[in-house]
Amino acid sequence: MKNIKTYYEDKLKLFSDNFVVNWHEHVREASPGELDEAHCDRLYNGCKVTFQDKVLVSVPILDEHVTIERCAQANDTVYKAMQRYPDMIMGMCFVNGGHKEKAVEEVKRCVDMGFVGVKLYHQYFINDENMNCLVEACIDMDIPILVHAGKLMRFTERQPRLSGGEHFADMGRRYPEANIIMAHIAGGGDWQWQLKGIADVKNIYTDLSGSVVDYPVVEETVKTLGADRVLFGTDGTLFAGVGKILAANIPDEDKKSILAGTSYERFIRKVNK
Amino acid sequence: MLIDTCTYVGHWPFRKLPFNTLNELCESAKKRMVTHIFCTNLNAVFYKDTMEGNYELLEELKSYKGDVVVYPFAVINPVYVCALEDIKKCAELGFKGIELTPQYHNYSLDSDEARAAYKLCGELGLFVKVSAGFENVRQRHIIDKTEEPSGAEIAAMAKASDKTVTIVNAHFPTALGPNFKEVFSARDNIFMDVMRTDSFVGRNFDDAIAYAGYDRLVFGTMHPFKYIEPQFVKLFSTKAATDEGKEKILYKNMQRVLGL
Repeated sequence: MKNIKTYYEDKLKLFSDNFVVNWHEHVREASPGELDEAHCDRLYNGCKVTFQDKVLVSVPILDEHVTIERCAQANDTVYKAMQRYPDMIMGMCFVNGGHKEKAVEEVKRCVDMGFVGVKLYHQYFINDENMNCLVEACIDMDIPILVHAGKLMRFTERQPRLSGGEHFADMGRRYPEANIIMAHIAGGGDWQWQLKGIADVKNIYTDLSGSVVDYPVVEETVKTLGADRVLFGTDGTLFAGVGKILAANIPDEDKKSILAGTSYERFIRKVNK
Repeated sequence: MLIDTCTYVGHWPFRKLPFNTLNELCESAKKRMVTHIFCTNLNAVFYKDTMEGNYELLEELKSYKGDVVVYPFAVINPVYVCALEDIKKCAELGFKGIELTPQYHNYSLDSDEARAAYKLCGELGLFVKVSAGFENVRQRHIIDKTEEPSGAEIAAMAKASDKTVTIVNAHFPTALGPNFKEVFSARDNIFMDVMRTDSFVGRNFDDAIAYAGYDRLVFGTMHPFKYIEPQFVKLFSTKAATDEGKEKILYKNMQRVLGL
């Protein structure tokens, strides 16, 4: 086994020797507003053994209708995780963008508490006009928006307003100054559809998270978007998510750029100040 | 030694795989320290007569000169004409086992035909592999409406013979249900491939170890559908696995069964 372990440890130097930002993770609530501390500890320890330096977490609420008060509770949970592990955990503020000005107020509250950006789920398509108010505010605040995404081939009835590549492309063209991440390229169904949809829209990024470890999803993502539009993420698939990028047949410089999230580094630096 | 119990050659009709030949597969596996592979020809799944694809694999194997040791597996459709004769032929031709893909051949593993095939494999010393499917259900092609075999079906088939060495590739091994658990616990020759054992914040892999024990988990990757390295990260990052346990999963369990 020694040679296999050596091979693995040698590969993992990519993580231990470089700055690693995980742009897509979650903590859980034990009850509304209360952090599941055991889960948070597992996340922290898992990130430590895989040499991840900063991990951006959120608590999205999956219901179709989410009140702004419930969003605030979820964000308070995230804040508790940030306080529990201030060396690693950073926050993404979940809101239902349909609340417009109230959603913006909640985002501002979270930014004041040190959150990095916004997390949206599937309450609206990203290009729905109801999102304009929030997206414009995020442009003004210069913060990124991570949006749950996918092109599902089954179970579409469960997420009728799940944003696909075409929705992101439309929003990106309408708001070229917005910094939008189409979430989990490897976790939302047909990743080829998703990549093709956003290929030409330069302000739409993606993260590599998701439970799918299809060869060659990383290579195709980098080939289609360029490494500078790709961020590292795991979204719960913590270890396999690390393995995906270790395995990928792309230049080491691209891997390092993805792990550091070079294009989005300023958002991390801004908060760390 | 590193034994990968789940690899494929050939074409997948719904997505271009990074490579399709045995030489390419073995070259990629070797780079990643794999020394032995169990290999099935995907084409066979989609040919009406699966034996045509099985012969393709044997042809490739004849000209293969690499270092990685290849154990060929044949796809058998138990409800196709002369299936039992085909299984006997596979044993004569040197196949190590058969792979069942009931999703793509429209039968149940608890059918009389599947049980007869399973029993015959045990008598002939052929392994039986059962796959939970090739692609994540959310991303399957619009015409691929297949459902994965249930734990109850696998259990019903496995009751047909206690001699058959069986490898199950399941999404969430711990969720295969009580029927499967009962059969699994009563036998020492049913193994679970860790490929799909997920690692959601490090828990499910640990749960699989608790469920199956080190002696009954085996390394599998689904290469080239999937990357190999995620399996290493899962195995070497989990605190639940001892060094001895890792060795059993990586190769020792299969080494013992193969008599290497």
